[in-house]
Amino acid sequence: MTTYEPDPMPDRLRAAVSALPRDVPPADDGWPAIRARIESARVVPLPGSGRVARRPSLPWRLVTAAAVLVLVTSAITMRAVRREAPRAAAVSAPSTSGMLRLVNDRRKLVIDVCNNYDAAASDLEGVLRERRSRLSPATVRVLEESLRAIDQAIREARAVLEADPASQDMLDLLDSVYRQKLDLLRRANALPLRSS
Amino acid sequence: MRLRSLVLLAGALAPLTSLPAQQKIDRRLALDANGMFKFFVASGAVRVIGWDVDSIVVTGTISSKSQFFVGGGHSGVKGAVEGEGVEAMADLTVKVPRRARLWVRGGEADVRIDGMSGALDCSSASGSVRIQGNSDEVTAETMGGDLVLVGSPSYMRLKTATGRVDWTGTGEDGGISTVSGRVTVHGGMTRRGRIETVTGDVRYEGGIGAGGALAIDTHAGHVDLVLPKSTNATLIVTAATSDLFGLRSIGDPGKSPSSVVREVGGASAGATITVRTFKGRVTAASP
Repeated sequence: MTTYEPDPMPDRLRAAVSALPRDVPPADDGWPAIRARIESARVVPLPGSGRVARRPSLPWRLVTAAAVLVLVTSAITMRAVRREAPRAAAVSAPSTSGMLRLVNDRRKLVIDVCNNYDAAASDLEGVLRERRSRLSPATVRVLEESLRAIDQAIREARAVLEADPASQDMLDLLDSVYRQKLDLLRRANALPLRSS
Repeated sequence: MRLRSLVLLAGALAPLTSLPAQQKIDRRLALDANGMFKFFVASGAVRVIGWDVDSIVVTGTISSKSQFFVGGGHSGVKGAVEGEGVEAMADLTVKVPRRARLWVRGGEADVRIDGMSGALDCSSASGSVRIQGNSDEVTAETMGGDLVLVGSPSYMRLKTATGRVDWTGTGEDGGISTVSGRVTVHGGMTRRGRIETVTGDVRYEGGIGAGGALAIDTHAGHVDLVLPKSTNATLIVTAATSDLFGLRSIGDPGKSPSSVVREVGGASAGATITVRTFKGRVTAASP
């Protein structure tokens, strides 16, 4: 480890520093004038003008916020579970419809992700079908078992995302499984073939 | 009685006579110390041994109906055993300059590599792959066989489908993926690591370097982390069920799993370990 020693202070400088006063009061310059100006601009409530407008107390604000949250959450859940009820958005509060739009965007994103992966997988599966008869039976068995496990995982992940499209972790896990599927198919299509 | 003895004798000899006849192989070629060697074996077993001589020696046996080719120059040599099924069965030992770059494909053959330090790229469809050495760069794949690596490459990619992966060593940049194969790590990643399975369980016994990132994603596999006491990392676990250093969490199966964040050690090193599983269970402990 490297350590750094401070340079020794010259004696003359040390003496000069020691001679300096330890505390210096701030100069009494314009502060009284500033204070007077602030005081003159202060707003004073007029007598007899009724109650001063108050913000709702903290408990009420919490209750209101909780109600809005429940409304939004319920609407999202309902929308997620019952896809056949698009009219719900029309009768919801603006914030709810905004949230629903987000949920729909997420659901669309999930569908797009799945469609893109499915299209790519379908192409690779087509190539594999043509090569399958020239792969060894042991390899075909491994491929079939693996693809079954992958497709089952995709179905389960998609079912969860139908109900909870906002789950980034599930979307990432689905993405991981799809990548595994494409990689497996690509590797299977690169395997050496037996002579026909 | 005599006839019965003859029948028994014929039965005993039958397996011997049905075995394909074999050819002996003994070929030698010159190859630069850091040259390239590519080799393909359809079935059987091939063992590659790194040595400190600038030449290649291929010895062993192949079935009589298969054909053996090898050729090339000082900078690169290519060889193969061609044939079908049992007829292409080979049992070969290949000595290769230790620092050579090695590319091996085994159709259904078991591949074993020892003592190499050059870059390795080897795979087998349904055979096993076993590697022990000091290669700085290892890419190894098999579909149904097991994959075992003992070594500490800077760069590593290991893949199987149903086969298990067993890695002992440390590496800067590692990626391991299986579908249903179990993954076991003894050592760990120092900078960046990614382990992915679909249903395979993962056991990670090792640490993570300062500022490193380890990500483990599995759809249905269980994940067991055994972290050294000296580990400094932020642990982010997304799982239905977890037990992180005795802190248990149980969620609703079938729903999006929830996340738990736990600081391990001082976490001042800025390392991150992320584990995500939909159906699996995650445990973390220090021995």
